[in-house]
Amino acid sequence: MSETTTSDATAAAVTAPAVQRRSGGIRLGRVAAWGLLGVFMIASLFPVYWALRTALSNNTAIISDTDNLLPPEFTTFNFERVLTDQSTLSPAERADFQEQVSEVGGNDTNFNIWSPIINSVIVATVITVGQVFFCSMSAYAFARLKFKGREALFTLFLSALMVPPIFALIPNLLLVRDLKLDTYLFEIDLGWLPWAAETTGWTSTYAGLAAPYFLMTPFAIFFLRQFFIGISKEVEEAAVLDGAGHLRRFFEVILPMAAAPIFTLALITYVNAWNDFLWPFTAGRNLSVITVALNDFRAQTPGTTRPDWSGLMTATFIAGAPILALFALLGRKVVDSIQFSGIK
Amino acid sequence: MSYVSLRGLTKVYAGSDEPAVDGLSLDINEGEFVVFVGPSGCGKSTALRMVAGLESITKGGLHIADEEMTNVSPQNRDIAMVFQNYALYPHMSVGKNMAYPLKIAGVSKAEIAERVQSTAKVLQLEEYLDRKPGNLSGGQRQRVAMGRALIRSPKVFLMDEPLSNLDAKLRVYMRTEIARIQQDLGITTIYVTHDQVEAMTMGDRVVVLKDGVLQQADTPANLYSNPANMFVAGFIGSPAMNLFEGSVSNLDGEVAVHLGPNTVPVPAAVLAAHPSLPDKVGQTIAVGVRPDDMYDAALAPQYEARITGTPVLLESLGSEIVTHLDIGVRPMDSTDPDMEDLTGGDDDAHAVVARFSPHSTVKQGQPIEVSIDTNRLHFFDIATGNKI
Ligand SMILES: Nc1ncnc2c1ncn2[C@@H]1O[C@H](COP(=O)(O)OP(=O)(O)OP(=O)(O)O)[C@@H](O)[C@H]1O
Ligand SMILES: [Mg+2]
Repeated sequence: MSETTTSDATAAAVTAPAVQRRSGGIRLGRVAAWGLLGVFMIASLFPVYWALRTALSNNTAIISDTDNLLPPEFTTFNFERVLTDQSTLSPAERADFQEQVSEVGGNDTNFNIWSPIINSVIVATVITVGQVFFCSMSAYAFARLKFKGREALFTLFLSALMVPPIFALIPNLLLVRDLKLDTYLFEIDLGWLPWAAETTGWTSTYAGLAAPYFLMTPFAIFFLRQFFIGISKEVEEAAVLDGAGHLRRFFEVILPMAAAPIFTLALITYVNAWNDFLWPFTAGRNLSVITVALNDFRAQTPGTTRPDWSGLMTATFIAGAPILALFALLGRKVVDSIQFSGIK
Repeated sequence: MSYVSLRGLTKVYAGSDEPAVDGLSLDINEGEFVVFVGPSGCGKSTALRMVAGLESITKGGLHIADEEMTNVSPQNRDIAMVFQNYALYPHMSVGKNMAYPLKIAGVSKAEIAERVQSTAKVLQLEEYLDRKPGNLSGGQRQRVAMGRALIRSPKVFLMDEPLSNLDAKLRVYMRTEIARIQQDLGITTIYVTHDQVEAMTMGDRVVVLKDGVLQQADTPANLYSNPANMFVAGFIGSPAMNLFEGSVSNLDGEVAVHLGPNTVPVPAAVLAAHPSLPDKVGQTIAVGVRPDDMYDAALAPQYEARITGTPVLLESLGSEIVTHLDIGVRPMDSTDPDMEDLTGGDDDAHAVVARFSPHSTVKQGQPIEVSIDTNRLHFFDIATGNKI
């Protein structure tokens, strides 16, 4: 953005006469830049606002009152109904609750958003921890360890970046489905292992949902390797002379120095895992993460009544909240750590 | 018995057929401060890194405190090193940086705290122990790097151009600081620099390297007054020694060297020190005269050898007048590549340089009588470069 500003300013300064024009030019550039920024901001934030407005409306009223920028028949009950697990209510309470639901024009599905959110948190956390851990180790190996065939192996890893993810969908599904141990392995009875005899393998398990991303993605390795290469060799050599072996050097020197890109990578990975739909939809039909649950909710709307827009938007809003909270919490930290590692 | 012993250390980097260090042999005594000096690319860092174990040794052997260390991993050599860019851990405080080697060595918390305190005291870092290296000045970072190296009292202390990132004033200060600390602690030290002033002022012994080959290892005074070859003669001393092509004559035992139109008699004492000089009669040799051994004849009549020169450039420094003279014969190239860099290969820059007393009345363009202290002449074989 600052680039636009300065180039505008210089352009103005060149055409305009002397000092007065110069300050005028800068102001003009500023205004244009801010204006553009404002337009982009409104364009990207308006849908979010509209979702919130719908979530705070009576579902019957939004159909009739479409031009209203404010929520028609304002209510916060939609949040309550989406967050409530109706199966925990007594029959009387439940009937009472259903009545309130129909008052705001919602449908009577027991949404219980907590369970898919917890599933999403578990899956995204497992993926993030695994991916950051393993990718940083292999990125370090590719950046610093000397072994035969290193470059060839790295090229092979990178070429995986070129494969569209959709190609891997079915093979991954088959792999995960067949990921089950035979009850007997080399005649040792493994029947006591919880997953040994399961016929569905890892489909609809946390392990299965995390599996394709747990060990690595080519991007993460590439991203971190570039950073590790940039870390001064001397610092590592200093650690060698201080007596540190490979593990210490990696965990106590390299990793902390790479805190900024690792934070960034973790954030990106978490958001991606949270937002992923296709894989959990395919491999986790009986273990819904939030994206899949939202889809189910949309699909379940009975044909007789109108779509439950308020409920859907409320759930969508809640689904996005953890990500927003993450950015609010860690965004500052990422910026800080980037500044921190910028020093020598 | 020497403490650190380099025995024909040789390094050939992969993908190169020229050795970066070639057959370096040197015995270093316990507590000695040895400086490696030489022009850029001469293999100083490579030699140091072989001692540290950061580079493998292609050929030759290394012994430290009577132990074979040639193939021992760097962690197990009990060596500490200070790097040019300090190489501090940016995420650790000053105190943690210094404590790190002790922590790895498994020293108890109480002892670590105590040693950090005492090391910080020696290095005047006490008030900075909680700061991150990023918030320190260059000189302070330098001291932290030294603290981290010194804290575990290593057998050998290595430094690779540790002062080159500091400004001139701080460099002079840290130079004396390092020398003082080294003396106080008595740690055997190898120090790499390309700055000959650092080398001469700090080292008990200075090792001059060129193209990976040891040229001379000697005390600073000997290196200056008795250089082993033309390279050392030209490299040590600033302004550099003047080297001329000259011929030797012997008239009834009166040996003299002829520098262009000038004849300089060689006194008997000098002949005694260079007994093979008379054998060179009729041959061309290299004759070296240091700028400090040339005087304005009016002010130093005690030296009888005279040549005449025309000053082409005067640099009055207050304490002395550095005089560039045309004496009718062109000085030779000392083959010091750094010199080449300085002059940009410009031959006209090779005037004879003399350091005159500030009382001299020398004037640019006015020919002047120059007297030479003939007791301090240097003679070299042009073919081999070695002293005669
Ligand atoms: N890792 C390496 N691989 C190949 N050649 C190298 C490597 N490191 C150094 N060299 C070569 O070895 C020679 C000696 O290098 P070295 O770094 O020891 O010189 P130096 O005396 O320390 O120079 P400087 O004063 O510039 O630091 C140089 O010609 C250099 O190009
Ligand atoms: Mg070097």
